Amino acid sequence: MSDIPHLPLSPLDYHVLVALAEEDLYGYAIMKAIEKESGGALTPEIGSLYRVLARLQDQGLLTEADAPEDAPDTQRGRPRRYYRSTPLALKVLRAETERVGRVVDRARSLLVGEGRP
Amino acid sequence: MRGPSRLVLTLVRIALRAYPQDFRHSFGLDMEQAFSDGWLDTRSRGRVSTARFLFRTLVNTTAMGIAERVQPSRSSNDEPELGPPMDAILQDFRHTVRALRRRPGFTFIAVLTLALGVGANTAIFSVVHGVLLTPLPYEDADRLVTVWAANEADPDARGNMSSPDIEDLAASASFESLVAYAEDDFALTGLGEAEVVEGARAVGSLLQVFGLAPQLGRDIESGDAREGAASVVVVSNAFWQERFAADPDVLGRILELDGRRYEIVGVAPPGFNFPGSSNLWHSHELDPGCGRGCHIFASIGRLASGATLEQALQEANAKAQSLQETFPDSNHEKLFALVPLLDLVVGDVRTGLWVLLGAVGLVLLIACANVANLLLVRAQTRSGEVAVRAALGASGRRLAAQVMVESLVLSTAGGAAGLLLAWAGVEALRRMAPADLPRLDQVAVDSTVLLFTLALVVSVALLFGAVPAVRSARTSLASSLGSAGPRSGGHRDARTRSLLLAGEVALSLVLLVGAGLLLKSFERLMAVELGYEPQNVVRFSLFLPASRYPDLGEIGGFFDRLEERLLATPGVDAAGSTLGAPLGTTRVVANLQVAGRPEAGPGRKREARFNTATPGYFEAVGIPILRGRGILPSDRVDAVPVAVVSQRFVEQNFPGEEPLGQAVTMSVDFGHGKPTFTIVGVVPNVVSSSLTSEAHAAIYVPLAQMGPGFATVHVRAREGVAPVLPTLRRVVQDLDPDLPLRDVETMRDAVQGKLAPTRFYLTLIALFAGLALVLAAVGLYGVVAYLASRRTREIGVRIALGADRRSIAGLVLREGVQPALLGVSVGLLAAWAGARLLDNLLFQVAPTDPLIFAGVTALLLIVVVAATLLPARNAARLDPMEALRAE
Repeated sequence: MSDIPHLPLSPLDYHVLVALAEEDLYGYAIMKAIEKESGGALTPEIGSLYRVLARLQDQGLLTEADAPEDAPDTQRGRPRRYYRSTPLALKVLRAETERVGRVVDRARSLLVGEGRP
Repeated sequence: MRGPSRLVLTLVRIALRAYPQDFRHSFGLDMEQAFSDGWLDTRSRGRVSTARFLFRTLVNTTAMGIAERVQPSRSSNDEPELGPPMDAILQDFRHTVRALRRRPGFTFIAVLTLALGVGANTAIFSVVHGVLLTPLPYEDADRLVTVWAANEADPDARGNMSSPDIEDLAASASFESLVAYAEDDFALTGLGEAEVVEGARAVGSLLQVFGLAPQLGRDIESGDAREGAASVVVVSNAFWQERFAADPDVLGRILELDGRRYEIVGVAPPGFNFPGSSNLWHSHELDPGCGRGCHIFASIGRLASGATLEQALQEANAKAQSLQETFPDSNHEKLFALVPLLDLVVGDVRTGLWVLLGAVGLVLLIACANVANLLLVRAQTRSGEVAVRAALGASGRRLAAQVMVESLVLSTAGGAAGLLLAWAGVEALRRMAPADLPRLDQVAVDSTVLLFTLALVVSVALLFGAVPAVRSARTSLASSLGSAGPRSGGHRDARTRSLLLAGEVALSLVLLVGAGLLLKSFERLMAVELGYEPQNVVRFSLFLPASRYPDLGEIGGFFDRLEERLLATPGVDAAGSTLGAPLGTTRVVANLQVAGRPEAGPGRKREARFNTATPGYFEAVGIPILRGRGILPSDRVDAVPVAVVSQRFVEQNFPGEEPLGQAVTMSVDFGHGKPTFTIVGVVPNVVSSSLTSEAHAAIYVPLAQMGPGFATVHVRAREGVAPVLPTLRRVVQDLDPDLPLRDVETMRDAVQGKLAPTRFYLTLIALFAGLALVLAAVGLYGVVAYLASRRTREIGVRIALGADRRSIAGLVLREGVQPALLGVSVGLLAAWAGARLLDNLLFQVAPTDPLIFAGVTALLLIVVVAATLLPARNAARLDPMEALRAE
């Protein structure tokens, strides 16, 4: 894990990477995807989301991608900007998932016995 | 589906300005797009969702923009993204509350200022929301449209229509249904004491148009209008409950209205009382002799689903064109005007209420500027503490967050106190609102209003907290670099303060100009020459049913006896009756034809306000006879028909000619013939329909020679109307126990009622302008005094070096006057541009009235000078030794 400086990820970063691991998405679609995959627990706002996108891009975890043929129309005819996760992002996501998984496993084992004796 | 409006997008763009420029370049357009996507997405979930989305986006974007400036996301990543951790915020919160409690004076002023701003806004918004924004309580209420007769000269006129025209229009595809009705009062007899009930005659089912079903029985149907159909009536739910104790067997009972018997066939669902506050709707047998020339109906319809107002209007006017060609006599130049029901209900108050909301918005901005100034001063005095915290490792962001927490705590406290003010304010508004302000019952501090207040609180915190927050963050960076001492950015601070001051002065000027213009309008309204003496006159209307008063002899005889008895009443000086009372609701306008002149073609006919009068009328109302004679008791049905006309009538029809002795006919017939009247007298013009409209040409003919059996009786009392009032009803009851008195009112109240809307707007705008002036003056005083105190040492040196005390005072005075002058110039421009919004509320005053602009500017400058004079005087009196020791 020491070769990846990005961990731990903030919940919003993590969800963005999960959403983009599946497919390329544009801004509002990312917001909807996060809302869905977090079961409504996270409803990111536009202002926060774009700061995360800017930072993840800066860190080389995201790149821009061309809009697919079937992209929905935009207000001013300008093509939508889609985001794609980089191979590094997948690596980070995997490492973070393992890290979180270990924490979750530990928590589960504690909770089975209803916490401390 | 529509995307966000330009206004909304502009708001978002303003919020995006919070981000640094390079960030906006990279992501601005995408963020706008994401907002548009979200807008469309939430729109399908209703207005509240959309508003909430807009609000969240604005707040979040502004906050994150500031955060991005303090700590760009594209460099390091040493703090988590979603703001400082929660415990730090809580710590800030506790720290803030402690700090605020230590300075109760500062806290009190800041909270009070915000409470006034937020409270006034919440109160006015509850009115705007209740009256203008809440949809009418009917299914698809936006499809309900009223139709009126208009003409090519005035396409927005709202005249009555004829029933054949309405029928033709009802057949067009854009209307699902269209029903003719006429608002009316009925004398209800046979259920205890005779009384007047508001209602309407209907030529079809109004309930169906509104998408409602009767609670019992059936509604009026179009078949009920056929000749020979039974007379039927539908009663309101409230009427059914009160009069019949909600008796389910009410159907089939008989109501006697205006002397005619109607069978109850239905009960309306609860809450339905269109038009106005109707309680009865009865069938109206269409008179086949009364065709397209009989304009006695209003109409309301439901647009077909999918049809737009524009389509319906186009179709209606195509129909109007074809009717013009087919029926040139009755439909010459006639068009249709379509008015959505909500517009009809809300009517004239729309502009006024939006103007009020704008005005309180300005007050809130001034309040924010004041609090921002206070916070800047505080930030200054605390800069030492901030620098220490920065040196100990607090990031700029952490320090900015603390200032934001402080702003939020202040604005939340202000908002809570403001809500209390708003609650009281809404009650006061309800009481002082003019009687014709519609839908007042809808006005309440409800959940939407609370949401609005919450939005205000957060935006207000951002507004006045942003500047000091950014300042704090900068301070920390500067001091950690060691480039500045504990007191940094002094010069920049002074400029920020001056700009805030200039802004306050500009906003106050705009409000003061508005108040000044309304004040002048009000004065002009009060000074309107009425043409009659409204003091000590009380009046009421009577309707003599044709069944008991079939001819002119009966009608004239009744009013003769009535007025005789009224005159015999102690305290009564004069009594007389007329058809169209001044500033009353009955207006009859008729075409006239002067005998011996060629008949005018269609559309060229002269019109005049048609009135009747009994012999005592002119004296009772206080209208003097200018020439000839008035109406005499000898002007009976068997005498030569005579008329008295107004000066305007003479100017319009007999310019340069002798009016007395001329003969005219009028296009009016109340069922007793259409006589030719000989003019025997001239009276002055009187203000008849509203204070703001020009007096019409008017003609008065003897009630006894013309009818109808409807008139408003005016009684002039010797000393106040109060002692006379109780006897009026008895006098009428003695003559005819089945005649209820309608619309009893004093003429003074009738005149005051017409002044009420202007008085209402004037009072509120003047209140807000006064508030603005006080806030601006307090802000000015505070800032100038503070700046002077910071220059104590410099001033001391100047005095020690022999500076004239007057020039010292001037030095300080300039600190306040210079930004104020800037504010005045900007404010004058803004007021110049904005005053036309008031145009609809003004009377005989141009929105750019130079006297008002000059007067208000002078007043403001006096206040500015007064507010700065005290600190200036203190500075001039400074003892140089004390001053030099001060720092």
